[in-house]
Amino acid sequence: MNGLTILLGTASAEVKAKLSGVLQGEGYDVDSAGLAPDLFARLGERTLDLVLLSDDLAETNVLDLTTRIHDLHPKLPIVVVATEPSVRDAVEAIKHGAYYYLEASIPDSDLLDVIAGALELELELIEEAEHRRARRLVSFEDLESIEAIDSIMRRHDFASSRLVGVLQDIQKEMRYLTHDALRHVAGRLGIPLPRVYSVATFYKSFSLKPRGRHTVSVCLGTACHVSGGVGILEKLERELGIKAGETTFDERFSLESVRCVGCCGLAPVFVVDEDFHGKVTQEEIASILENYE
Amino acid sequence: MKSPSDRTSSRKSLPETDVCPELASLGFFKSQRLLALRHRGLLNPEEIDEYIALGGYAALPKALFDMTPEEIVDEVKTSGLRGRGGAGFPTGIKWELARNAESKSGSKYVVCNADEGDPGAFMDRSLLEADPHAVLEGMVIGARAMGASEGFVYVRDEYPHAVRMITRAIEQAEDYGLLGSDILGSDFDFRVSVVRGGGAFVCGEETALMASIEGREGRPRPRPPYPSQSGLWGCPTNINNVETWANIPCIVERGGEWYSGIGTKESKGTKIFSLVGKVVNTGLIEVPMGMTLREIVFDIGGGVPRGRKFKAVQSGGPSGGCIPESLIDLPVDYEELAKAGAIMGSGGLIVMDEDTCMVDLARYFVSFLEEESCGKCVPCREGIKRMREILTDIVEARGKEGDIERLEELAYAIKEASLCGLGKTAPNPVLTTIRYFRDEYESHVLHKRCPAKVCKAMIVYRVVPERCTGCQRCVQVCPVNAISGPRSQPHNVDLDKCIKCGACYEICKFDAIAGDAIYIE
Repeated sequence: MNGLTILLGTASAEVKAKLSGVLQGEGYDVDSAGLAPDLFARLGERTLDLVLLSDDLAETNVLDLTTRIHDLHPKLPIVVVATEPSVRDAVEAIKHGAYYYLEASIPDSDLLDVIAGALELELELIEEAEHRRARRLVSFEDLESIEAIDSIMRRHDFASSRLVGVLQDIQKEMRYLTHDALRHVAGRLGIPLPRVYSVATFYKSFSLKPRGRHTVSVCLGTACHVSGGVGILEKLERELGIKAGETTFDERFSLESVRCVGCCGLAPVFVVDEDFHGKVTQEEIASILENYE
Repeated sequence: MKSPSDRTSSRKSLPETDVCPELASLGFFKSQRLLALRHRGLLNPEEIDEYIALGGYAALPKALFDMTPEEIVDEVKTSGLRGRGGAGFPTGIKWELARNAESKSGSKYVVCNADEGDPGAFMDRSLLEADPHAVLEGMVIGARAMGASEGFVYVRDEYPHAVRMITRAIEQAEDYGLLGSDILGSDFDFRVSVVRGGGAFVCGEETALMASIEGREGRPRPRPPYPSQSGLWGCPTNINNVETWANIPCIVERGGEWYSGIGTKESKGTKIFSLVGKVVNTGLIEVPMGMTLREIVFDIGGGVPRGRKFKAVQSGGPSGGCIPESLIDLPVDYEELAKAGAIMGSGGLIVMDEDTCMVDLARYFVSFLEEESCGKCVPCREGIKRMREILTDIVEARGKEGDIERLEELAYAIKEASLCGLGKTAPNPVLTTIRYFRDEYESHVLHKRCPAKVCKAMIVYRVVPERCTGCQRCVQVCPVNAISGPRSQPHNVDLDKCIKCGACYEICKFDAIAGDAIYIE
């Protein structure tokens, strides 16, 4: 058992026996229904990972069925198996929301590949959704972030010459620059998107990758370099388990090296957010980091 | 509030012995001369009234009502003030060029360059944080002299406090009618806004800085045309460093003649240095041009700590060079530093002792510049990378005979062919370290030995049993448990486990951990 459940919709005992055998042999849990109402009842009562629809269900057009299931469960992959395949039906099925359209005569291994592909896609979608939720992203369906970005641009009078400042403020608010944010800025300021990208990637202070809640910057200015700054960076890398330029898995810290924070009299220095820690030794680092959640 | 007489009487009641010695009697301050830093520690930078109470904004009315713009320019020319950002171009001449330049649209701009990128220098940050109005006053006077009506302060994003201070100062100056329309009732208008940099070293270069202000990626362009002809949005633009601007009110108030009385023949006035590294008293100092390095490092700085031996001073940031002990009596001004192969730069002076490896330092600067090269021109982008590769090989014990000569050859090509100052000066740290410390390079290349015991590939850590007290601090601090030994007995370092992080060396109070140089076959 691999813990994944597939609902099989077919009226033919022969098709049912063949497909169930193949799928169960691969470890899938298979449930089946021979009539459309039964099918919807199953959809309502249990969690499913995929629907496999044959075109032999009585009184029901498989394309209508696909549409209805897709409307109810947009993220549930639907694979249509056609006993009488036609190109026109294939196109229509995909248009109606099917993930794939197969001929019933297809070799078992190909069928399993398609199903595995569909499930993987589903997993990716779920992961992405969770990922977004986890970091309250700024996906652009999110009206609030459009609002926030607009108000930042308003502060800069929507002037295209203030692009650098606009991006800095967006990054401050959202911790990093998303593609959606850059696209929105480009549109509103009337700057071609490639130019916005060239600015966003030119300056070191911008990040296109998610950043942690706290930014740890280790100064590697000359005074810090001669006073053991590299040792401090290496210690932080070991302590956090990441390299400079990376973010910890729990998104607590991002680690980076910077060129001189201008406190050379206090070398070696590292900065967490806006707190400066001067004349530090490797020994003190762990206890300093504890202050940041 | 105490009346003045109260204050005198309370001073009289102090005992004869110096409870609180005067600033000027302390070794660190004795030979300093504070002009740009004249208000250091004396005022609250968030209160414009305090600046005014100390005589601030007195030069402005003089420049607005008693002097013509030409007279202001002449005064600055007489003073002999040169750009404090690094190149040392005479400020008065720069102003004159901008003043005489024709502007098609009628606009002219002045810019304060506070993109202090040189590692080891922090006077610009300090000035903006401690005395922002002095900088603003200088800018208003300059704008008046050049006929500019708009100004920008371009500050590094890494200096959030400086951004807050200068922003607040601008607001206050506007409230007091010292910025904005009809300044002090004259018909002169001038506005200033703050622009934050994006963390790119090359933006300190003036053409790159202007591109950044215009909202583009900060890449330099060839000059001419110079900013004074075609700068921001194609208009004449004058860019000066923070320290240069902070000197202007003094010069207008007390006269160019007076200012030119300080300093050497070619380098007038005072210069702020950030004295840092392996020196007892670290911090910003302001001294007359021409003071010797010995006075700076030993009299003001108090020499090298922990009884170590002085080795060199690095001046001018990544574009500068290293000045060895043999030149310690060098008078510090633009010309003398250039003769020694270094530059004044923005004024970073990093003191190094015998524990600093000059080859490692050269590699540090070159890798800094490799990262900061904007990539526009080939000699800088590719040449610096090749230099870094050779230097990395040398410090990682893979140096080959002929590497030093190859470095020199590359350096020559990069210097000659690069587009902007970053590339043209990039080889300086390598060239000066080769010039003065060739034996160290040779030791690395030929004998695979790092005399300063810095290059990890050439050292092992071991415990010096005669000094080790067995205090176990190193045992606790070692991240890989490579040190062992019972309390109160000399410890041992397991060389197979040791990752050479140096934590034990750093923490040992008894100098019982030695980083011995070994030969690698």
